[in-house]
Amino acid sequence: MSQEEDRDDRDLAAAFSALRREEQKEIPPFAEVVRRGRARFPQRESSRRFHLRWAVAAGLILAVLAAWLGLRTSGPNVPAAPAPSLAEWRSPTDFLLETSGREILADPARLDRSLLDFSSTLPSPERRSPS
Amino acid sequence: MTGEPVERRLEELHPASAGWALSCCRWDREEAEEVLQMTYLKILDGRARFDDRSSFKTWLFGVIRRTAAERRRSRWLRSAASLRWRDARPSPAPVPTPESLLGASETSRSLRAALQALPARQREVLHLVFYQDLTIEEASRVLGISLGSARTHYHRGKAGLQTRLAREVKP
Repeated sequence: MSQEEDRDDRDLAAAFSALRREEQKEIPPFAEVVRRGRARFPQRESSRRFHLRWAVAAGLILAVLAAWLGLRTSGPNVPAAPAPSLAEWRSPTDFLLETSGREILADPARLDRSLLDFSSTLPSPERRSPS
Repeated sequence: MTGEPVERRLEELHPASAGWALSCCRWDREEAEEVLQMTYLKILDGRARFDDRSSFKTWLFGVIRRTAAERRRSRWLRSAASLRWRDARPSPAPVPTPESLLGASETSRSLRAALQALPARQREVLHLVFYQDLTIEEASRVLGISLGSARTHYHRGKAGLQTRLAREVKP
């Protein structure tokens, strides 16, 4: 701390000390403050009783809330439809897995057979024009 | 800690508490006395208990500060409610009593004016350190802030106060 700062602090301390001396002259005695306080604020209920009141109020609010929630959730009991068995169940998006050309890969390839089956695309022998 | 020892300790600290209450209420004597009454009754009736976590003085000053803040809030709420529902007049600003003005020296008056112009935190830290002779660490405990923050408020407040006081001396 510099000397100047030290002097400033001392000046401030002296000013505050003068203020304190002046203020202390005017304060009423402790007993008088308590007496006036008792007259102004009559004895408040004890903190225990005060807390008990709050606990009872909170309990009542919770009970009302629980009753309301209970009424809300317990509607008329409609029997739920039986759940389908797992073996029968099919996903609604199952068709997306059926890609074209899937039958080609259904069985292993054979050397004497082409993978491409043109029989379905060729015209049938009856409909062929007579040559 | 109940009964006579608390009352005795409150009485011992009464002058310091009164000074702190005045500062918390921006030197409104009536309000400061009401805050002191409420604080003492809170403690004597067992609604505020000292738990030995700090010094009694630090704790007591914390209770006074909180009580002053509660009182300010309730006053504000009351005035807001009356403004809404009734044709209420705004509460008059605290006016220093003639006897306090006569008793106050020029230095004290200018110090009070300069303190009132400071932000609340800075004013509180300076009051606790210079008027109540607390350390900055104790002041931080009264205000419920960190030591670093209290130090910042202390240095800024001191600079602000010196500037204002110098301005008053040399207009």
